[in-house]
Amino acid sequence: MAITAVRTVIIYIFIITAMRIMGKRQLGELQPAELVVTLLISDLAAVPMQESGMPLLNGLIPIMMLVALELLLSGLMMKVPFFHRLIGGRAKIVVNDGKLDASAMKGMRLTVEDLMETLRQQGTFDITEVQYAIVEANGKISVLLKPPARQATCGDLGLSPPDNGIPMVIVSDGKVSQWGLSVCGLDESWLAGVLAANTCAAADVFLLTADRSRQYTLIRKEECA
Amino acid sequence: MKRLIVALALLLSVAVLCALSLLSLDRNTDFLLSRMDEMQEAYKRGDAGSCLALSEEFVQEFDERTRFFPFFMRHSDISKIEESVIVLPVMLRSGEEAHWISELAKCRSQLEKLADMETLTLENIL
Repeated sequence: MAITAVRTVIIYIFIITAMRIMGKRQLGELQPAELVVTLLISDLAAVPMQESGMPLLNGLIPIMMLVALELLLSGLMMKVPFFHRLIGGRAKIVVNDGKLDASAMKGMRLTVEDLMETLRQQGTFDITEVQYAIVEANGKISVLLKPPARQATCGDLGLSPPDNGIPMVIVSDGKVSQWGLSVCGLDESWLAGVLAANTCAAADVFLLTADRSRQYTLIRKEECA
Repeated sequence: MKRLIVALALLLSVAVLCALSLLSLDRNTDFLLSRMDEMQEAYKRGDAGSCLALSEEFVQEFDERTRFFPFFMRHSDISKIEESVIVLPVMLRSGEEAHWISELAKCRSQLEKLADMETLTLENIL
């Protein structure tokens, strides 16, 4: 029993390391090759974890090989476009300038119902509003609506709103984020001023967000109780 | 580039681990098989004393030589042979010499299979 526990810890650390080495791509939308590697790793790790009569290396070596091959393959896919198409596949247009491409859909075994379902999930209920629909290599469908159905942007309305940057978390549950401060171009003295203006200490703050224009939102811990 | 180096380092370490395991398996099984030959020769000469001494030594040698096998081989495969090895001196002490030679043959065949199991042959790969 203790052996299984120790083995689980080793494999857990090993897999976390493997996933970190493979990078963030492995955690987001998976390409076909990445999906295969992720599924295989989870399966390979389970066997030596449960079976103490099996050498741990029998589980670790295949994982090492998969991680190495995945890294080499993704490197190759980045450098050689042909490999990218071969391994990752290519995006396919299923609605081309408002017209459904039945043969492309048939090739991907995608039914009209599947397409309609995806469009509805993206907030489009009328297929006649779609100008382009593209099935990406990871299986997601990207949609571009016809101009009259598109949402108006500030540019369309001739507006020029101020660019305040992204609001960042400056204090979370009493802890100050130096990274958040640096992204917004702020410093400790600005934070001290805000805290003084609100007559509280950083430890009393549940959430403080701010942007580059120094606009901030402060929520005290007592307000969240 | 960093990830490429990591990938190559991983491949290299896998290659080293595989080479070391093969080397350890080959060397140690060869040694154990040669000791079995000696036992068999002693048996053919009718030298029961040498047979017993060699069998007793063999139990210890097997233990020492297969110390690292569980790192890369199924534990059950090794323990099967160990069971045969342990009874060899016991059989000789109780005068079961006919059984001893058959147990030795069984032991040899299992050890040869163990050595063959990890070799890179098409048969094993497929």
